[in-house]
Amino acid sequence: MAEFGNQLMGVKNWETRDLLVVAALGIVPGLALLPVVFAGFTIRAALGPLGTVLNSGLFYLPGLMALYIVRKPGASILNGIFVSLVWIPLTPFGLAVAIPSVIARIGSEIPFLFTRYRRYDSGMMAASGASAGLLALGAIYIPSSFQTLAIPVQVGLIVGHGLSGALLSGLLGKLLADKLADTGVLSAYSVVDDVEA
Amino acid sequence: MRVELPDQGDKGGVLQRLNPVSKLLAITPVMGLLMLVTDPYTPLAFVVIGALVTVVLDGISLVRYLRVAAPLVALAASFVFIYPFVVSGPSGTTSEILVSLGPLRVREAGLWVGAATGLRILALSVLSLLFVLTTETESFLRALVQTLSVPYKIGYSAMAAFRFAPMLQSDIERVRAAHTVRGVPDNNGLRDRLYRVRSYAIPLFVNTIRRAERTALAMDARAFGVFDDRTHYHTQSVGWRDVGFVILFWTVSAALVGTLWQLDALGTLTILR
Repeated sequence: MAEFGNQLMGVKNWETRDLLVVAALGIVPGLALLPVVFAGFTIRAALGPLGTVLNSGLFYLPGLMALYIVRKPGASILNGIFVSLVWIPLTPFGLAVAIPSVIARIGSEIPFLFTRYRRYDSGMMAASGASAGLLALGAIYIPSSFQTLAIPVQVGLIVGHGLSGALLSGLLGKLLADKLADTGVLSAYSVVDDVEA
Repeated sequence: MRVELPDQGDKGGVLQRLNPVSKLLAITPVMGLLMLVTDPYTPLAFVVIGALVTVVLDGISLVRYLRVAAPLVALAASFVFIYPFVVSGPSGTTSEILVSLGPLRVREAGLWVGAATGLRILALSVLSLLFVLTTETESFLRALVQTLSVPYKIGYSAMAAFRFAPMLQSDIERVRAAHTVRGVPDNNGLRDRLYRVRSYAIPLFVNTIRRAERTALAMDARAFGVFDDRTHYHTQSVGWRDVGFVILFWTVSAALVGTLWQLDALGTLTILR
């Protein structure tokens, strides 16, 4: 257990390569997701609160990919910090988007924490995405006055965010990472064992 | 849309020369409070203060500021239009009906919640603009490492990875050229764009991961992360200017909240309700 605790805390145990890969997986999709951030606000403006369900899952996608590839505790959170570092200076929503995004990453780590970061299958990825979606929703619930909405709308929001996270970040993230593993670029990581099996 | 990054080599406004951490420290308590207020007056007051501080203290041209802020105002306005239709609750059913349009009724309470929420989001964004428009990413990273003692391995990995961003453009060009050579039509319709997102994702990720691994090797070769402490080429310190700014901002904010309290304009906070 002590070893596990060390593994959780120590950035020192991270090889430079892992750090750079997690950072690159944050910064590049972070830039690619910028249009989604802006489109998200437009969708939300046009469709109301339920509109966020359509794209919210995409925001945790890089984190789940990083965690699935590097397989170290905290990879998703660290990736979230890197994504936020892109968003803080490049979007006017900056901090307002960055904080829920980091909270979502904490959510994505919870299911893996329960299995002590040993299982990496579709079920885990979906659970992790759903958990990220729900925690992210929790972070924006009160600032967006969602508690004042009609009950069916609230239920729709909660279910929708969970599903959006599970599909758009969990399963899509696994799909992308598996395809990446097929190319051979991830030969240094244990993802390739899963794909070959 | 892309926010232009200020160049710190220029003269720069007062805010640009502050330590980024002090700017964060100044706005964080106010943002925390704004997340909880339920009346529209407090956010409105902070929208004005935030915009004034950014434009006056930093000397950003008003036109540029308005261009960045315009979509935010549009977003805030959308809340006023949409919330009246989706808000429920006892307060919604007893309040006065303003407009009746078939089965849809716009009630005063719904409009009130919409205005409060829209202005709250606007105020949060305006405050974050105060930081965003006046801070360069690299000086923010340096400040995180030097002032907040974030592990430098994280800070400098981020800085190294930031260098990948401009290369993304040339990567896209190259993948596109490779596709064209192999006979993929090079059109610009919506369907082609969607197709491109799908078929470019993997090659772009591959390029990025390879680049990250090469960069990591180069950094390792230069003994990155071997020692706990390190020296810095650019130093980021906390000066009297930073302390002054934080105290001034906090005082003005507290005075504002106090005044609103006196005027009975400060609604109940969400946690107290």
